[in-house]
Amino acid sequence: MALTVDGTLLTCKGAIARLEATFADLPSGSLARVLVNDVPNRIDVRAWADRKGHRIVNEQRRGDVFELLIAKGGSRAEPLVPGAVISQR
Amino acid sequence: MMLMVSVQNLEEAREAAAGGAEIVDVKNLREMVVGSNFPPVIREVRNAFPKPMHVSVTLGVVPNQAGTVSMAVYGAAALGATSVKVGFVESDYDTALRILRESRRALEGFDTKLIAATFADSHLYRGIDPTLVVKLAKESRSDGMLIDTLVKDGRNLFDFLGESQLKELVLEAKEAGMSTALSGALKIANLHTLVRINPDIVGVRGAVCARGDREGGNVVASAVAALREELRQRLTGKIDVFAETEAPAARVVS
Repeated sequence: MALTVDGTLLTCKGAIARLEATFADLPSGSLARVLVNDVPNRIDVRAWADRKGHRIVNEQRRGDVFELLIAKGGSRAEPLVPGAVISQR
Repeated sequence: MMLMVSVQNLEEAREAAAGGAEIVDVKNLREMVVGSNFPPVIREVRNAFPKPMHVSVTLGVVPNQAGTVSMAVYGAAALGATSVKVGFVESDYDTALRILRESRRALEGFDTKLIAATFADSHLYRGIDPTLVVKLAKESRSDGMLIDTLVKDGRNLFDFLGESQLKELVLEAKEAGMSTALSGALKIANLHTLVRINPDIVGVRGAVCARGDREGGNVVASAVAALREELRQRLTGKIDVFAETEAPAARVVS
């Protein structure tokens, strides 16, 4: 079961700050699910994962919420959707 | 992205909240433009807007006196501030760091967050390099960082620091687990750039005051609501702020 970082909550610390804290305690290959509800945060989370060597293994849109499943760097997980074009539910 | 509106009194705080501001930032424009307000004013606003409403307190430009500043920080916490902002101009890095570390110690036992602030235009005041704010915040274990401006002559944040530079600073601070805030005479015309930079908090005053006058005008709820809506449209992608830049790696197929 992947940990969930809910970036849809309106707090001073955004999704990336909380992802950093969450991933610091996880072994390589662990999965975390992050929820964001705006476009710039979705783009930032994708860029963050790329910079940190983590992998987006799935991405879905549920209404206004983007749900990204991220594998911590070092995993063998492969992207489920090459090119990361996402579907909308 | 949270909208922070600078207010001078309870009446303005009510207007800001009614317009949809998530943070009311209590300050005193008569003390070096971004100075501290008086404890009774802060108490009145806090009492009118109990937690979890965010009531931040700015100490503005602080003197190079760690004891005095940490006492003021303690005062903000005792008044129930959600966060307290400590800003530096005519200071050097080591002095600013010492002040922030003492401020951190002063907040032990409180849940008030410590925000390190620098000013993008501080070179006009022989001030500290504003880009040191993330390093300062990290080394002092501050909870967040703010970059603001002091000049109120029509220039704003983006006249002093560019989008890519601000984006790097914001990302670096986020990756260090901090909250990030940008302010400095920001207008609706700047929202495209701000949303691309994506700080956690965007701070305004003049843009939501009557006649756009940050000092002579008061905060108006309808102006706050209009700005909030403009921001929402850009955050949700109804207005595409990335259209004029390089396409992001993945675009939503809808």
